[in-house]
Amino acid sequence: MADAGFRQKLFNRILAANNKTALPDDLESAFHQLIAADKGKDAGLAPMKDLLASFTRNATLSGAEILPVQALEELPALLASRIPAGNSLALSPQAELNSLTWQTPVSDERSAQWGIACAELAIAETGTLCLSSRSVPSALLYLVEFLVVVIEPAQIVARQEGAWRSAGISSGHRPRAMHLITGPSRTADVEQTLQVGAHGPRELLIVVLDPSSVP
Amino acid sequence: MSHNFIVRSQEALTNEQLQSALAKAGGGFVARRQSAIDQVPDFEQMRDQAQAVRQKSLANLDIYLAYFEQQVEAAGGKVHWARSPEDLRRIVIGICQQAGARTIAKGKSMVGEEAHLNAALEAAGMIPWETDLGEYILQLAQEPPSHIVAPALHKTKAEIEALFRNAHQLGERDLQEVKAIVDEARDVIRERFLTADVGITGANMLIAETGTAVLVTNEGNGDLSSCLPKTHIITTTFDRVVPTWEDASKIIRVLARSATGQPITSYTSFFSGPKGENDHDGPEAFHVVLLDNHRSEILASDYREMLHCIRCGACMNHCPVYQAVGGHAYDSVYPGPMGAVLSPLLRGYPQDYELPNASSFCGRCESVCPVRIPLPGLMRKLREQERQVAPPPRVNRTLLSSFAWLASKPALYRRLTSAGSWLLHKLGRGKGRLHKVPLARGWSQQRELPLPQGASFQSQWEQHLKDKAKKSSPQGGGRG
Repeated sequence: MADAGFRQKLFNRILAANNKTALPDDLESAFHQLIAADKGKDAGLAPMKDLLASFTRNATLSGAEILPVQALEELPALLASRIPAGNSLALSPQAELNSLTWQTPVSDERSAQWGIACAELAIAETGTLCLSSRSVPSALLYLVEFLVVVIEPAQIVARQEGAWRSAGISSGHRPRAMHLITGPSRTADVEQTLQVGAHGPRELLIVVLDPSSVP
Repeated sequence: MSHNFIVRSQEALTNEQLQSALAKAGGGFVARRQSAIDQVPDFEQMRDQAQAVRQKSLANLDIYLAYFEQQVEAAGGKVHWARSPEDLRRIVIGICQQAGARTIAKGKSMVGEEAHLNAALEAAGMIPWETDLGEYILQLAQEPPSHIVAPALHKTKAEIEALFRNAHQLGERDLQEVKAIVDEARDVIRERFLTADVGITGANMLIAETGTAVLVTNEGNGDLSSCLPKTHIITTTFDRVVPTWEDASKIIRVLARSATGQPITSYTSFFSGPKGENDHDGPEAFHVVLLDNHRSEILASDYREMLHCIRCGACMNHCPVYQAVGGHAYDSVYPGPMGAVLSPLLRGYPQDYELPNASSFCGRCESVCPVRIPLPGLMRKLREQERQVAPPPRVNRTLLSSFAWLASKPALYRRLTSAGSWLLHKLGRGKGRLHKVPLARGWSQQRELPLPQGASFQSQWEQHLKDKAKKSSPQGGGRG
């Protein structure tokens, strides 16, 4: 292919610009040697004390609503009181959710107005949820108008670096998509006026399970 | 329209619609960035960390880029190498044709804009649908973006409403509220995500460790474009690579704070390859197309630091020139201070050398750049280069060399400037300012020229020293 020839030319230019002559024979160990110094380290920024409180504050600032719930079993009734008649709910195929008895009609994410999923992790520094395509269909997170995400306090980490460590991200564990979600979708493309509810969800409801169980 | 910056900026200054749009957008970005920074105790440390990531990424870019390619392939994707915008267009069209594509959902990609990808896709018989609201507005208006973060910044609400009424045959409806406009775009575009054959997005970063592309958005259109169609194509440049996920976090931390004043955008997504056995959904094919377009030359040049840029737009948001004339005056996908450096280096059109001159050198761009790129320094270098490539007109050169000669003769210089000050002072007839300046009517239309209030500083200083000597001398001492 024509672009294969350019590939070699580009690498030669990059090597020359970096005062090198060739790529190392053992790329794998050269790469790991280079990243060793910084890999797996914390952010090196101001420490955070109360992760649940920080998460709650930052998620609320991003426009999400926080709903503390004692047990997962309370969710179907709580959501039924919020979901208007005629709307349906898309369930992420996660065992925790599918073992519950829902009082709302269930449908797929293309036709449902509401969607619910359990997060893998949450990040306190920005009030962010962390969900991967291994646990949740990506489309569900972006197609529904009202997204409900469940987290447990023990899943909250201080900063992104901790999330990557907890999720075990590596070339051996590489979900197709890792989504960081902070608040509902938004746009400011019309005269820089912030409008919540662009292509993704208009509302984000974060269910915090058993908030008293802070680790 | 002219390609000349001076002509374009004059047109921009008299374009009432543009001036009204710029005034509305105006200080919003500046105030929001400041408030986001005030909310964290360690923003300067975050900037240092982000700058360090960009430095180390380029220092061993050869290894990181080779590793990135290897990892994309290990994840089941493919990396393509494009020397020029033509190459990028040919490669993307080839992938789309192979996928049998008719329709394409597009997320915002500045590299796609740089390569004029939409026109090429249309010419190849395909329908590219822009899905980012700003880009969609511009597709309807058939205009290029005027800002790298807020592409339709130059459009007023009334203009957008007219474009929507013309494009969507939806009958009588109220589009007064911003919400009504956004909802209409949401309804029209939703069907497109669900039916498009291919999704094309940009990438804010590439992570070598896992062959991952990082996409930072607020609307959710980038994610829908990448997870629903059967093929996902990412158009970006090779210099976006960072080594690890931890390194990506350092950039993410300063990106949205500098761009829109958010601690993080609504969506930050990490895409690694096509759908695997354990994934619930995603595309079947995953392609990363990497454009060079002279960036490898920048890497080897004195302008290397320009490749540190993370495309936040803070430099243009804070630039008095950009604020006055908007992005289109720069006649480039990349406007403002970062564009004034990048455009001449990427394109090298003869008129591009005007762009580094479109700066008052106030230094705000450098002071807000999250990765501390010395933008005024780089512009100054380009000005020096311009002198070599296109020497200034003879009259400018003669004036400058006369000044240089005069400045090297202190006694004569002083005598001439004192005479000049005296003359100007007299011209002011005691009012201390001039309403009309001969040969500079355009300049004096909006302001008055302040005039010297008497003798020059140097002669005043001499007088001061003389007076002091008199006071401290034995004869004059008793009067102190």
